[in-house]
Amino acid sequence: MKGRWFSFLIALLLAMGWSFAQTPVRGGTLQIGADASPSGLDPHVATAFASFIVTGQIYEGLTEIDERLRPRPALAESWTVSQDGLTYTFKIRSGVTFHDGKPLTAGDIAFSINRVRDPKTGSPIASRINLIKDVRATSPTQLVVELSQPFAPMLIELANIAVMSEDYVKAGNDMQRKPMGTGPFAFKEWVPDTYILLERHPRYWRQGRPYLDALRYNIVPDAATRQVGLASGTYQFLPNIDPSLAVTLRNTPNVKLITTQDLAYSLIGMNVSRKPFDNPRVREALNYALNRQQIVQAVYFGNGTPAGPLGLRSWASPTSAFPCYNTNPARARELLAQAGYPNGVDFGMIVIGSNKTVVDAAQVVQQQLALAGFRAKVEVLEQGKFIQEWRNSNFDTFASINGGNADPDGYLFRTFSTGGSTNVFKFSNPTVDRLLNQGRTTVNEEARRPIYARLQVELACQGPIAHLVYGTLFSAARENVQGFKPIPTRSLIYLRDTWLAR
Amino acid sequence: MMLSFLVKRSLDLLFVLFGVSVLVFLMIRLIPGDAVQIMLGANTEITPEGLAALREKLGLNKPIFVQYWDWLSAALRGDLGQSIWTGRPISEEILQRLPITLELTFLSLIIAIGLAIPVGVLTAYWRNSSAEYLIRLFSITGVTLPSFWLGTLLIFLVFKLAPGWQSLGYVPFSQDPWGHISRLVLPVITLSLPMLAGLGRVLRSSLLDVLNQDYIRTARSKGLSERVVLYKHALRNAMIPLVTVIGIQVGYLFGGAIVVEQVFAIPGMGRLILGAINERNYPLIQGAILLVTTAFVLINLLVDLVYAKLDPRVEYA
Repeated sequence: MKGRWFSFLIALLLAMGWSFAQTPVRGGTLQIGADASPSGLDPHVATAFASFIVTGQIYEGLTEIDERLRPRPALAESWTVSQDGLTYTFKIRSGVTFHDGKPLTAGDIAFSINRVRDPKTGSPIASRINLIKDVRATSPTQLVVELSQPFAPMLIELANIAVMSEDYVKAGNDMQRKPMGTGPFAFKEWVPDTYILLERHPRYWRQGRPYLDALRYNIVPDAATRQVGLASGTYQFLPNIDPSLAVTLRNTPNVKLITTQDLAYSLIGMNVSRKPFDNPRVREALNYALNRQQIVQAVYFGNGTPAGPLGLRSWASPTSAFPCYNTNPARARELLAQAGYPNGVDFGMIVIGSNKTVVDAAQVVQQQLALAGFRAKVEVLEQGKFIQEWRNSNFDTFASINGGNADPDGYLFRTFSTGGSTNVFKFSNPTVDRLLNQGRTTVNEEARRPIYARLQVELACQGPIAHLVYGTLFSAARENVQGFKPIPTRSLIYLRDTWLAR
Repeated sequence: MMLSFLVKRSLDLLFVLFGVSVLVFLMIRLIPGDAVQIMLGANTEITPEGLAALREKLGLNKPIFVQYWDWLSAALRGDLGQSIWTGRPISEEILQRLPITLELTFLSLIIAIGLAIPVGVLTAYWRNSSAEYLIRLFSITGVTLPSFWLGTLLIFLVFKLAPGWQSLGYVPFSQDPWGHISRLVLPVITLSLPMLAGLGRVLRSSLLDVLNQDYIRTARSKGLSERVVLYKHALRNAMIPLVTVIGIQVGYLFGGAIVVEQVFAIPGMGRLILGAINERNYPLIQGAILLVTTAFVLINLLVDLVYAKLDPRVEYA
């Protein structure tokens, strides 16, 4: 009897040791529960996370963004920058092969960057790299990129440009349906509304990676179904989930939550070409009326932080730098009166209906604003209609959520510069424009800091956006999913280091 | 007689299909946010010229009547066009999904009808007994439960009671027969329960009507056994309203399949249509709705034919 107990104990200890062992194990398929079906898998034209969580495994860039939001070498082994900051010379990693077996050359990279720049592609990242004047491969392993002006976020922007095979694209392959790159996983199969299957790239350049044999993105639209699926082990990994789902999964046995700060933030956008938000005092008053801490509690279940125009930890000014972040409905009324609205204002607020967090936040905001004389008529819109109104600047205000960028210029320039590509607010301010240009063309990081500190103060209280909350980014996984690290940009590059403990 | 009836009904069918095709064509184009806007999403880089080029490529720059005529004339030749997102033929997209939904709805239909008959008979016979109250309570609950809620509840219940059960998603029968069936159980229950409850109630009340008729009393007084009275005389006549309701319910079944497919992550017609609407995939919506309408109209024709089988007095003219 005693002997049996003893061997049982040994077996138990062995089993525990097995699961706690930190040596990664090769093999296995990771069952991912994804909330939406991507509409296409061409990373040069995609705009949705549903596409990026898949293409991020298939493709790589010259650089990649790490968990501290710094660029580091990927397909480029190293680089040099000329004294004037206008010429970048990249040494391309050798021994990299595409999934079809062809070796990567500098020519493929030049082709990919030019594909993004080509207006015929219609790429949403084209304007991000509009300071690139010329790209050329000077040898199979050397790439030269010339700029028309120094551009501080250059290395970060290059991480977003997926490198494709020139031959493969020119052979007329449908890049939306049959992606092919150099990444750790190769595209295998896509059954619409069911799953997308990626298989291990056997000749991946990072030795011994990836550990997993395959990734299977199961498309499961219903949140409750994903929750039960993870609890029962049908799915092993739910990337980038809503805070409400995270709260319900918190105490589930054999399930762990993986967290980091999210770069995405909820916001109220104001149309400055319409009354009353053409008046900066009214915009300031709206900020005074908001109670961001309350939104964190009520909508984010405590998992978030109020922040200003920049949420990036390394660049963000503390909210104490913005006086209007001290909730004060009386001050808000006073400002409204000064702006000529002693009886308060009536206006519309459109809300993107596809995001639960935003819909919840809009309701709380409506209540808070009402206390200060802002009477918002809230209208929750289906995504297609919302995008149309947003694009055409057909709103008084809107509530939405924006993805963030690893460099401050990535978000601020397109949003707040006069005529910027996502400046749907029609905001135009010469001081802001000057600072934005200064910020992107100053390469030295210490010299950039004061510029962005100044910009944040300019924009926080009187800008066209009232920034609400930066949430905590949650992913949920079964306990035996090891080695994954989250990144605030929501990219899943560390699936290449992920393994399944037995 | 029969032939002229069929010809007449076929003409009706064409008329209905034409009406539906016009309605669907116009309605999806009246939803705010057109295909091009949705396709671009948050992509604001595109120039007005690029936008125009994209519209032209999709044929959306033409006047709406021309668009309709182009589509209709191709559809009459059997060509439903191509999905504007995937570029694949619509017929191919639909054929991939249709069998899944057909299997789901037919299984639910068979189970609902198969169980509704004993439930209806028993409740009619056991009138005012406690068993009848129990079944009635069950059927009222069944009719009123929304299927998205019932589906989620079943998923949770099965997870608590039988954690090993594979109940989510879809695998083809050819790949894993047992996995295929085990994943169908919950969706079929979710879909058939409201229908079973509704049909059971209809059968009960029509059976009660019939059982009070003179010819039933005559049959009983002739000394026929209760079995024969029930099956040969009562049930057959009570079936007519039931068949009508089944015909209507099949339409609801397609609607319910959309919700059930969403909850259980099943890639059927419901998900296809829902996704197509969200993407404003015009040709795909048109093709799919046209197909579902055809099916619905044909089922109603079938119902009319079944009347004649059940009741020889019904004539077709």
